[in-house]
Amino acid sequence: MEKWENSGMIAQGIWIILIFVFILVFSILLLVRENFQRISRAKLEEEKIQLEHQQKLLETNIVVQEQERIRIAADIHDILIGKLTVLKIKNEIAYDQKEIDELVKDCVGVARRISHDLSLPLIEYKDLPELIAELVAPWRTIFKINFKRDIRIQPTLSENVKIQLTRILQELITNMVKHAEATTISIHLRHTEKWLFLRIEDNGKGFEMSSNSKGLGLKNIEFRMNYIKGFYKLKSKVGIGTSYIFSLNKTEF
Amino acid sequence: MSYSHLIEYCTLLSPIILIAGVSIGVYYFKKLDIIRKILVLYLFTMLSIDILSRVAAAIYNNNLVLIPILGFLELFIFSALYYALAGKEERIKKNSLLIINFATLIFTIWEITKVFNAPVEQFQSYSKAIATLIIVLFSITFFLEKIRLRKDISPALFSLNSGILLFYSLELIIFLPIDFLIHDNSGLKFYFWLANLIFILLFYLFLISSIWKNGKTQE
Repeated sequence: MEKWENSGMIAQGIWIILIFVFILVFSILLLVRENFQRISRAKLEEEKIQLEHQQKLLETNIVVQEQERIRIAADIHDILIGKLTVLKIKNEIAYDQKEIDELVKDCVGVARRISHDLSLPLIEYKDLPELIAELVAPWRTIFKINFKRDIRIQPTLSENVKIQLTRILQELITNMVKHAEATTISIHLRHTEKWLFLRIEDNGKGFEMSSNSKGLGLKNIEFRMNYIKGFYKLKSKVGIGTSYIFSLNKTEF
Repeated sequence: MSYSHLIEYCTLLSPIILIAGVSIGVYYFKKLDIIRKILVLYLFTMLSIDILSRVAAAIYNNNLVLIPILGFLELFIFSALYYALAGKEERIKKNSLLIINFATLIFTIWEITKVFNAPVEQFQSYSKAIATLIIVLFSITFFLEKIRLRKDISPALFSLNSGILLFYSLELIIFLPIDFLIHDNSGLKFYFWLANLIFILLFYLFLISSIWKNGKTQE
């Protein structure tokens, strides 16, 4: 019998392996536990960031609502009340039917614009291309607007989706007027059975994508897209322009 | 009293603990989650095997045939446990578990016929070691899948799987040289049987505490 074959040696070998396996498994378990703790910490961190982000979006929404109220109040006060006051004075000092008719027509126009701003007219009877066409029509005097439609199905969008997408377009055009100094805007609407895409491009001055701070307008757009469970992506290059793509899956139509 | 007699008396702790475990399991059974219900089934199976092995030893003076059966039953129960634990997107799937169990069953049947026809001196069984190895692999796969999918697990589930991994890794080392543990004449084998008995008793107590905590929490 070889030396290694005697019982003592075999028993010793088994004990060594047993202790070794015990230490090995125990170390692996410690490593696995550390890994799970790391996963748990990362998830907590993610949730915290998500929560902070939602909080910021909510705050933005409140600020935007407040700004919108101020703008509407300013429109009523500065334009409508101004015109009505002129109308009253004219009526008191020198009655001129033609001039008064003209002023009343202006007032009706301003009131209609404010009303349209607050709520899109006949939204339930109009489809998205019609709403976009109506929305961009007044801006054609300032910009060259190319509106391309690729509608492959009978459009069946909910009122909510139509409102949010129109508001987003409104916000973007306001941004382009305020900051972009663009001359041309391209709008491409594609509606297939499974997806809805809306691409909006301008040839304005663009901005640095790396700057972390999003303006109120962009945060508001993000809030609206989250609300309709859509996705959006924006690309901007200084001196070239900015493009936005909005997409919506059929489940959210 | 000789050392072997002392171990023999100590083995009586096993059915006592198992009876206590099964009683706790039965008492809380309706309130337990599926994992702990499977653990109660495991304790009950171990108790049955324990009693059967004592009966077989008393009648035939040989209970070695129960070793491959024990291995297969353990594998079957832990397959059910890891199947219940696996999420939809995880790799341990019904079909692979069925194939593993079926292959082990065939091997166990073949080994039982071999053990029946061979004299005790020539006893050699690998099926218990294979079953134990597969349980160890299930346990490792469970952890790896959770890490791969970046899924969090509860501390109770972590400690349960850790206990299974640790116990069956040690069992694997003990049951691989089973012919030495049966045929050795030097008396050294009793130290291993004692170590094995301590591992088993600790494992049973660990499972019972897991069942008891789960039952208490659901109360």
